[in-house]
Amino acid sequence: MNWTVIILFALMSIGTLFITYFASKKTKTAGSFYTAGGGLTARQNGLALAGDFMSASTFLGLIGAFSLTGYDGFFLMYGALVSFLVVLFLVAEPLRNLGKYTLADMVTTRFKYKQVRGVTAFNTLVISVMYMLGQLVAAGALFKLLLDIPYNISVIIVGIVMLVFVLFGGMTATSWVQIIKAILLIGGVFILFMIVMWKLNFSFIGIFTDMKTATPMGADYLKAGIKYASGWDAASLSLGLILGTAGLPHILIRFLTVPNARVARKSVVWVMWIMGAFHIMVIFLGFGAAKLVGTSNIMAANPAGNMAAPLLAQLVGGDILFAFIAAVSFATILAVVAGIVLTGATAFSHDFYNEILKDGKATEKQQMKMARWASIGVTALAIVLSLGLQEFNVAFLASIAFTLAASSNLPVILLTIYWKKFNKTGAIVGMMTGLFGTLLLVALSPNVWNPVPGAAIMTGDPIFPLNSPGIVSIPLGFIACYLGALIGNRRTGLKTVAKDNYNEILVKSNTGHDVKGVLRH
Amino acid sequence: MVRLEKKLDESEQTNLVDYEKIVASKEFQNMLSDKKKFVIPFTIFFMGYSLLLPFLVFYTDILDHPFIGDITWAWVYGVSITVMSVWVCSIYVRKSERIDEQIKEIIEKEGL
Repeated sequence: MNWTVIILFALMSIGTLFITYFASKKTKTAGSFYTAGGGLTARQNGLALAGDFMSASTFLGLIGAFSLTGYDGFFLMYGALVSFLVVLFLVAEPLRNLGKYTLADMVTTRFKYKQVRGVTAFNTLVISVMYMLGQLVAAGALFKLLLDIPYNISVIIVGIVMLVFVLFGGMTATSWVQIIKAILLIGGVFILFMIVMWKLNFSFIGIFTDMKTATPMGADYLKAGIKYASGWDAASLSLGLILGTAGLPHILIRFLTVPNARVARKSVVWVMWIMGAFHIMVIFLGFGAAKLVGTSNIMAANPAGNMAAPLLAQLVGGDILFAFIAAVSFATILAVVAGIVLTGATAFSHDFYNEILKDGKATEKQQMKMARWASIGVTALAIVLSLGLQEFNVAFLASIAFTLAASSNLPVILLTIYWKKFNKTGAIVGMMTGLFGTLLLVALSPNVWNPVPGAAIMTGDPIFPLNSPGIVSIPLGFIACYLGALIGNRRTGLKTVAKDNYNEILVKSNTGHDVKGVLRH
Repeated sequence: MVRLEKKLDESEQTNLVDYEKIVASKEFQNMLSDKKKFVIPFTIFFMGYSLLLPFLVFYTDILDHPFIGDITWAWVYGVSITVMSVWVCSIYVRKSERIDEQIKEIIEKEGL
């Protein structure tokens, strides 16, 4: 047991609980629970967005990836910033202008059918739970390594602490936890970066020469191909990451916490600068870990490299820096999971309960109650599922969530905003095909099938050759939307043209005249 | 009571908006085409720029040449995606300030 770690963990938890307490006083309506009343500033929302996005797999995973696989680390990293360009150029402003509390709100502005809302909400729940699994598994592994707490108990502890934030503070508390976590994460990485570079005499060019001999890979460390066998596999992974963010419900919901499109846009600028700085430092931290900690020591702590950053901190900064970095990792997981639970709970209570079951007539009190019960339900489900997934690679679980989002949500979001002939049938068929198509491809991929007994869940040759299904499943989602729309248009014929409200969507998504601004808390 | 009346007012207002007319107006069409003029080329550019990297490093050796010391062009390209993203983002913000002006005019003219 490392007492410095435990004390820092406790301090961080108490601090965030205080925030929750103050936020809970402000959270009186369902609107403030769901989206903090839409009253965040660009800087607050930008930091919270960065906080939402930079999960355990970003921080621990990327440093580990650069330290163990050298150049191949880029394929896990560079998609992130580009993905925010996709969000900025195509999705953020229309979403702010059309949406209210959830993604389903936006899609049903155009297609006013309960089936569409139901499918979108179901999708949100599946993606959210999937994303959460990766985080909980990471939390379990981290706690086990840092505090010697067994995996199962760690997962349950993280689940419960995070649930407290969501239950009492809603979106306001979650946003503040995200903001503080983002500042701590950037601060912690910057301190670590400065100390590591100081140890390496700040020789940004010389370190590349050193890296040629510092690892067992030799000069190949600086070249692509250590982890990924082909350009297609690497491109498939990158494509999933680039297009995934624009379909992730817990990221998209962040654009509904700001008053207007202008603020939504400015918050992306904040994300860009924060994550850009973070990415540059990550490369050198990966080098530092490989050179100072050593490949074999990193692999010994965790074969996937997830412990490279904490080990590097311990080596260069002793127990205090180690405890700090570990505590930051903990806060990171906590904040991300809280954001996701909130998204799932909102989809359940706002979409399923209020809009579908109660025809939008549920009282504020009923909705808040339902949202809290849904939070408990989503958390319990994720905890139970992740107890069985201990052996799974964290980055793999996260990449499935990204690919699911890119294949099922993104096509529908884009076509709803931009395609005049899109219709209800297209939306439903597209989302369902994207969702189940991706899951099927993953089930047939080398992640699940391996000819060597025991290496994966199933023994045998994989039917689908790529680890990341993105390059197939994303086009599949778009094609299903298109074909569904054709079928739908033929079936209803001229009737839909008369009822078509695309012009209304066009005006609203561009001007945002419909957005009522900041809700009263 | 006061709240109820306000709600009625709002729904009446949305019913009165003639979206067909606004979309058909010259100002709206100009705004749309101005928006398309930078959104489409830039989207193609940043998607192409970033998806080119895996194919260049796996299937060609043009990025294997040294830039400074042992830093190859492959590393420069990788880092340049970060720089490119921040740059494209700042262009977007600048261009959309101009679009904002056009939208403001449309909102005022149509009384939205």
